[in-house]
This record gives sequence, C-alpha cells and structure tokens, in this order.
Amino acid sequence: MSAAAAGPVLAVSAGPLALKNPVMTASGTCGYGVDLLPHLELSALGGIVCKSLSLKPREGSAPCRIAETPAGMLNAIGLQNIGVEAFLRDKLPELRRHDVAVVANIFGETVQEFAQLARALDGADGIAAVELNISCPNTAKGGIEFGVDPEATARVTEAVKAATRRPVIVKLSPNVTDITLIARAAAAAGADILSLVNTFVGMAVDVQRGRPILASGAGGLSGPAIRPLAVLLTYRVARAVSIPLIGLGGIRSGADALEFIMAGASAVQVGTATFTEPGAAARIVREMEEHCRRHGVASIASLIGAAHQHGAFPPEAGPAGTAAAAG
Amino acid sequence: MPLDTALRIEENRHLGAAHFLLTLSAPPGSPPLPSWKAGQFAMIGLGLPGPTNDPLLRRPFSIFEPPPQRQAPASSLRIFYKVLGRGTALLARARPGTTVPCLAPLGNGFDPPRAAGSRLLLVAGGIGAASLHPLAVQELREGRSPLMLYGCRTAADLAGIAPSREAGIEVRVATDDGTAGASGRAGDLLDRFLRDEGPQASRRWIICACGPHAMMRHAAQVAARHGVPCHVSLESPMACGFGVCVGCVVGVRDGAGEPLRYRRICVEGPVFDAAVVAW
Repeated sequence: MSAAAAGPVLAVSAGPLALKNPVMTASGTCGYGVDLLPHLELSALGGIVCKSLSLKPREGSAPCRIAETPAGMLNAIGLQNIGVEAFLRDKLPELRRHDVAVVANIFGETVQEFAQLARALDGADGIAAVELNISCPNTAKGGIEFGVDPEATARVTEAVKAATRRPVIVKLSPNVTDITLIARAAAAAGADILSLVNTFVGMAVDVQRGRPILASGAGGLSGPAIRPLAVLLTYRVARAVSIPLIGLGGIRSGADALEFIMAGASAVQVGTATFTEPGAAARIVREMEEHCRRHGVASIASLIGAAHQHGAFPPEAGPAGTAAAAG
Repeated sequence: MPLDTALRIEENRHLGAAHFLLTLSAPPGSPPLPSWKAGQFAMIGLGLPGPTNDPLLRRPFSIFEPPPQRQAPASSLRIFYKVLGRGTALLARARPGTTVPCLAPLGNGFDPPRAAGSRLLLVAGGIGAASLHPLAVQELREGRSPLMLYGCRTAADLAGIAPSREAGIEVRVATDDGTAGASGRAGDLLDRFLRDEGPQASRRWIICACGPHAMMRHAAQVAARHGVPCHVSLESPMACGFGVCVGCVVGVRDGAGEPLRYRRICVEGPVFDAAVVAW
C-alpha cells in the first residue's frame, strides 16, 4: 500500500507524551472530557485536558463570569471544579473507556498543594500527563503568581516532578514581559513539555452602567483575537528551549492549528472554539489530515517548526523591542 | 441528547416593536431535530453564513415551538425573539435561505410538580413570554387552561404576546406606563391576582415565570408571600450552552443557612425552583 493510500501519519510525540494526533482540548473548555461525549468521539482526538483540579472543590467566582469581545471573549470563572477526589472517583473511570490521552490539569495555591495534587493523580490509572496551571489570571492566590516569576515557576515544577512519574506539562502565561525567561526556568527545573499560552488579562466595561462587565473586573481573553499573539510567543519559546511545546490560543480550524505546529509546537489545544461548536476539535483533526493529503505531507510531525526555516526573525526581542536577558 | 446542526431560515417575520418570529428547518437529507421539552433552549448562530469571528459566540434562545406530540422528531422549530442587542440585531437582518448553526435542545425545561387540579400561572416579563408559550400550548393540548400574566413597558410591546393570544392562551396584561391593561409591573399584577384568589391560591396555582432578573425576583417574592410554588427560567450570557464553559452560573442555596453554590443555568437550569435561588 502506498503512503498516500494509507493516509498521512498524524501521530506525534511531545517528548514522553505520545498522541495519535496533535489535537487536544484545552483545560477549562471541555469540562472533564465526558461532557463532550454527546458531541464527538473522544477517540477522534489526540488528548483531552480536564478542567483545573484543586485539592478541595471550588465554587468559583461570582457571576457575571463571561463577556464577548471582538473575535474573542473574557472569562473569570475562578476555577470552579469538583476537586481531585471526585474527579478520580466519578469522571476518570468513564474517561478510561475511551482511547484518548487524558491530561489532568492541576491548580494549587502553594507549591505543596501542587505536589499533593500530583501525588494524588500519580497512583491513578489512565492519566497520561499532568499539566500545571501556573497561569490562571482569575484567582487571588496561586495561579499566575507562580507563572510570572521564573524562580517560583522553577520551584513548583521541581516539586511536581518529584511527586509524579507522569510527564509534566507547564502551562505558561502570556502576561509577562519575556515569556522565554519563564519557559527556560520551567525547562531547567525539569518540565517535560510546555503548553502556551493561557489567556491574556483583559477588561470590558459596560458603558451603560459605568462598570466592568465581569463581576471580578478583569478576566482572561481567549478566542481568535489572541491567535497571532499566541503564535508569536510559541515561535519565540520554540527558539528558547529544546523541550516540546503544545500551542494554543484562538485555534478554530486546521489551518489555525498548523500555524502553531509550524511555529514550533508538537501539538495543539483547542479551547474557545469548542464553546462555539462542540465538535470543533474533531473537525480540526480532519482539516489537518486533509491539509496533509492535499500537500503530500506524509507525516504531520515533519511540519513542526517549519516556519523557522524561513529567515531569522529576532526571537530574542522582548515585546517592547528590548533585548531580553539570556536565560 | 442535543444535536448540533445547520438549519435553514424559512422565515424571519417582523411582528412589530422589534419582535421577530424565526422559523428554522432541517434541510432535506439532514437529520431530524431531536424532540424537546417546553422551556428548553437552543444555541443559535447569528445568521451570517459559516462560523464568524465577530460576533464569536452563538446566542441562547428559548424554543418557542411547542414540543412535538408524542416526542416525535421534528423537521422545524420556531424562535420568538426581540432585538435587544447587537446579536439579535444581526439575526433580524438574516434572510430566508441562509443557514444558521443550531445546537438544541439544551437545559432542563419546565417540569413543575403538579397537584391534582392545579393550574399553571405563567408570569412573563417582555420577551420572557417566549419560553412560557410552549408550556401554555402544551397545557391547552392536555385540556387544561393556563393563565398568562404579561408585563411590558408599553402598549406597543403587546406584539410580544400576539402569537400566544392567537394560540388561544388567556393573557392578562400590565404595562409600566399604563398604556394597555393594568398599570404597573408583572409582579404587581401577580400580587393582585393572588390576593383576589385568597387562601385557596396555594392549592390552585403553580407559577412559572420568565423575564428580566428583577421581574423574576419580584415574582418569586410575591409567590413566597402567598405560599404558591414558583419556578423561574433564568437568563444569562452564555458562551457554550452545554455546560463546559461554566460561565452562566447562578447562586443557589438548598436551604436556609446552607452554603451558596453556583449552578450552571445551561445544564442544571434554566428552570429553577425560585425558593433555592439566591436572589
């Protein structure tokens, strides 16, 4: 059988994490994975990343929690979740029945909590990797506190690495002056994979009432509006570290996903698109496969980092055009 | 189980005062629509062909069409909406023949526990009547006689009740400015009605309410004062409509002194017992 007849190979490896295709659903956009079952076959996806889990259940922020913005949306959910115990007891057994890599996203207010969560998940069957949410903009403690500080990023990464045998993904915040500093710190501390980016902090004001639309004031911006920003950050981090990346930010189509792959990501996560179309992630897999077919690409892995072959863009320049300190 | 499908706009008829009746149908060869319950809703794209980046999100609309008899699959449904913002303004411009994405049916719908012989008292604020209409039609079909109390700003807004009156539903009206019906709010109308009913009211009536938040809070207070059970269909901005964004929550308390919990309006609602809502 010829390669063309067999179809392009979609499988990728993000370091120790093997995926049958590069498309995952992003944390906070697919519930605990099982919530998507009425809308798509989980086995059509490379992976799913469950909603951030904390040690104890969290009720989250007061409403109003979301606001639509041009080509995007703000959210301030505040990590409402059922807690790690209920996840292991009530959700994971169902997830295990599906041929899909399950990534548990975890959130702690302290380094110790992150480590405890990682330990709690380590003994469970059916967890392919752990993703650290050190970039949530919607909590008073933890979250982004870690994600904006290279030393704190390193501390939490090391603690989690010591607490689990699973691959560790560190999810980066874009709300920093130089994301490559944080990326290098996480990599040096033993992160297996980096995922980027979480939402950009933003605000929308209700001009009738003269106050922010979100009850929390600020929230995280996601959707197509942030895609070019996220693609650039992926491109930059790809030049700064040698561990694999998972790219995300406003992906709505196979072509959008390929932008991240070509910028240097080994896999992608689909987030807000699932809100507007429950089966979006599965459609994006089909569109990526179709792209490969049309362009005679035998393996999608061959496209990873393709955009780096075309000229030197100054990846070391910070957002303000200043030279960043070498990590 | 909800189905995400592209529906064709058959008609998008202006009924006056910015009220539109939208008829959507499954194109030939596409799967039929799963049956729905009164009070369930649909997430609908805004009438531009294909997915749009701006506006990005679909909008929740209650399904105006009464549930198909014997839960049969349907080939079309209607949405009754009022132009209130940018999304509905775009939808109002959508032409017949356009296809729009539609995810439906969603939410729990109305299922008020019925005491024998009790009647439904439907309290509607403005376009909230759209979610109560199918419940009223279902009652009529089953040989009962629901009564709707409709509150709106001014006489022109009676456009919002025209289809229900045409369907044979008895409607009493209150307007904020007194230009039609009684003067005052829907909650005032409800209060007077229950007072006239006297102590029998709590056995005779079950209230289902839908409208602006302040109106439903008012209706819930009045209902509680008269000891009449009350169910409310809540509204909220929604990103997904099927539970995964957790953006549309309402605070509830399962009893006095119980902790506040957030429930998703799109999955655990939109219909809640008014007594558990932390107004």
